[in-house]
Amino acid sequence: MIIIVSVLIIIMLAAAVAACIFKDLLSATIASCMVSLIAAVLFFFLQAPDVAMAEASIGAALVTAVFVIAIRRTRRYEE
Amino acid sequence: MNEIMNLNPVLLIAVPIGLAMLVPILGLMSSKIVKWVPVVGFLFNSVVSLAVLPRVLNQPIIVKIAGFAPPFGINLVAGPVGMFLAALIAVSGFLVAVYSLDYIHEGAAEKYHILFLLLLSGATGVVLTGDIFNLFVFFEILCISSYALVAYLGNRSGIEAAVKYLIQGAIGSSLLLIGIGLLYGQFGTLNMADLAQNITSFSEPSVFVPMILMVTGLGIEAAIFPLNAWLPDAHSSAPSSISAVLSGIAIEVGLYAVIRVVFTICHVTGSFFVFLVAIAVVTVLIGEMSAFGQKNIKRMLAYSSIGQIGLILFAFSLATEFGVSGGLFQMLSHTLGKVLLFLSAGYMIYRTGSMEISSFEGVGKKMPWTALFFTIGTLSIIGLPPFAGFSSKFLIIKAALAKGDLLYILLMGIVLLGTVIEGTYFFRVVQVIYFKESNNKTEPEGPPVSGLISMSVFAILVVLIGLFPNAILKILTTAASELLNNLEYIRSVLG
Amino acid sequence: MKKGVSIILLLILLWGVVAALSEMPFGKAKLEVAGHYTDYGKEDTGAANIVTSVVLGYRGFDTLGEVTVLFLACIGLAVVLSTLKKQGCGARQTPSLILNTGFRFLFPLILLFGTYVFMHGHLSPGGGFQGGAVIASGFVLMYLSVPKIKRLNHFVSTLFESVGGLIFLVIGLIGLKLGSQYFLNNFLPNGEFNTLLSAGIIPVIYIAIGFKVGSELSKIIDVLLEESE
Repeated sequence: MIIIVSVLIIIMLAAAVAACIFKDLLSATIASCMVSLIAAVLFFFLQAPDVAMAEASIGAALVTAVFVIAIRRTRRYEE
Repeated sequence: MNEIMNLNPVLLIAVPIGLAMLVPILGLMSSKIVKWVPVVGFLFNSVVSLAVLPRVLNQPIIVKIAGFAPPFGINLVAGPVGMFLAALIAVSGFLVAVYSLDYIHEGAAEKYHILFLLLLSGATGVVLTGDIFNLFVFFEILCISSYALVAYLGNRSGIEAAVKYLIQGAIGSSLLLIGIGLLYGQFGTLNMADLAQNITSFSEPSVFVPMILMVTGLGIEAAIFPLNAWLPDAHSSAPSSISAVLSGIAIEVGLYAVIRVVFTICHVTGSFFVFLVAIAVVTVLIGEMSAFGQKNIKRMLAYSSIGQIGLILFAFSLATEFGVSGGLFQMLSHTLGKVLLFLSAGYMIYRTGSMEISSFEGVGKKMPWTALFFTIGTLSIIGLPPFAGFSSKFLIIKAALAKGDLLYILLMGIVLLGTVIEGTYFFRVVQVIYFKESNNKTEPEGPPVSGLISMSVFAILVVLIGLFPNAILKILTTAASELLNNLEYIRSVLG
Repeated sequence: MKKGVSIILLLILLWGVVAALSEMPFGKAKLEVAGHYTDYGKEDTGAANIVTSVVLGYRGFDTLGEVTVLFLACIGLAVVLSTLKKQGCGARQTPSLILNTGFRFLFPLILLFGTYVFMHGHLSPGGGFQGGAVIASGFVLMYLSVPKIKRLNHFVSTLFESVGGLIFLVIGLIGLKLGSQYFLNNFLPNGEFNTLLSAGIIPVIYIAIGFKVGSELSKIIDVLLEESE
């Protein structure tokens, strides 16, 4: 159990760092989506299924959609 | 009458929110009736809050939502401070809604009315609630509707100002939320009275840091000195009726929340007030000096609001009964005066087509009533007798002198210097309006009846309160004792 | 200089936050209010899910505020976007076969799951907000996969939004008139514990919130997409 959780946390941290350094905004968005998704799983392990559900549907799905639409309207690459 | 007096204060929040949610449905049926909805809503609120106000002076009404006793459920505390501010919000909201009947005719008018209703119901919620997280929720309602209303006109400067405001406001809200979270973690309660009971000393770092976070977060909305960068842009690019509400009500509600945190929850004493007084004096000077150089009338009024907020904060930081009641009085006179100024400036801008002060030449002859109302607002804000601003400023000066400390007298002198600067730039505008001959021959017509009615009621209120300040003073001293004596507050809520 | 000052300020702040965090009783039942919720939540509200008993029972007024915030966000977005000029952007790719088939298979299931979540908010994890968000994510999938999208019916979504919010408020106001005269008072019978028809007004409010949140979040995506088309 503890191994799964620590692996998840490491992946989450890596995704968070990646979201900061990517110059391609679409990839950064997907990375931040991954952070939310893993956060949702971790919330579930911490026995907070209500929060997990909100995090998964809002953080991972809707926020990503809003970001993708915004990128479509503007530019994909950061200068 | 008795029936109204016994109404539950929660209706002051629930009815405007309900009406706001009703507006889209009404909009599907007929677009004509939508603009009457805020008028009806705030008329109801004014009647109820003014009827309940005398009742709460003796004993605050504790409203338990869903029937759970205070530390467990959410409760509203309709004490003298809360009801006084709620009545002020409701009356100004009603008059501004009447003004908007004819003023708002372009853009998505239906959405304007929804946002206006929610802005003021959020403000009412903030002043009435007795729960710190509930305060945060209503604060969010207040802030988000103001972001949207700043961008309402949709021009470039409006959107830019709204984005600036949004970013700073979002940072402020996060700081507020972190502060609330830290307090909740330590004391296990969100009720303000219960928190106040548990906090023994504000100077321990574990309480001081959350307090600073909360004061900073709320201070952004209140536009206290280092946090006021967003205000001039936001207030000057909104429609005038909204600038009036933002300047007259929204920032004061932010300041109320700061005061509530400092006085009631943390029960600050001693040296922190000296710090607040220093901040307040700097705010006054910065606001008035920036206003002095402005050529744009709305920016000038916005900067003047910063100066006024500094003055109100100065009065509160004196932390005496005179000081706090003077601060509350100044809130009242600033709201009435500044709303009147923005409303009359709104029609002057609309008819002349420009926000530059220089384009108002000759307005005094063409729009005599609007110019008169503008002048009354000016005189009240500067603090000349017999207008409301005089009584409130006089009370603040008296409070500073009663402190007896040379430091406070010296600082009061600096604040009075700010008032002199204020007088200079306001009189400059009045001079342009009355004593400069206009070059262009077009005849601007006066404002429509709805605008005239609402402005004249404001002007009459300003004069009446200036002539009979004693009628208000009784409410204010009760309110001041509620703020200064937090044991009384705790006892009335927790029983 | 500037950096140095800000680092020092941040360190001071960090020290305070650490001091506050170290005061917190982790893992102990010291939190009085939370203790009351876990002990008496069932009797007080009749909801099997303690989180729901807090969200709609003890702190129902906050939830009314949150619902209003969401409503406000939707209106505010519409105000800001309606003033901007429409501008073209890159053409859409046609969705692949996998996406298309997956959409047809998943869309009804997602809607069903969302409905389940908000109807059983008082029994199992989740509730109106989560269920609404799940439904909205189904609509996101729809926008991705159907090339010529039939837009969301704004009439219906406006109706859901307003009626959902109004039901919440009217239930609160009925509570003010009936029984013990408290706003949002639970005036319906609590029913048999842990069944669908229990917990008084909570399921009614959650269904209203579910419809409202679902239509609002979908509308936000819809408005954003419409502007970018």
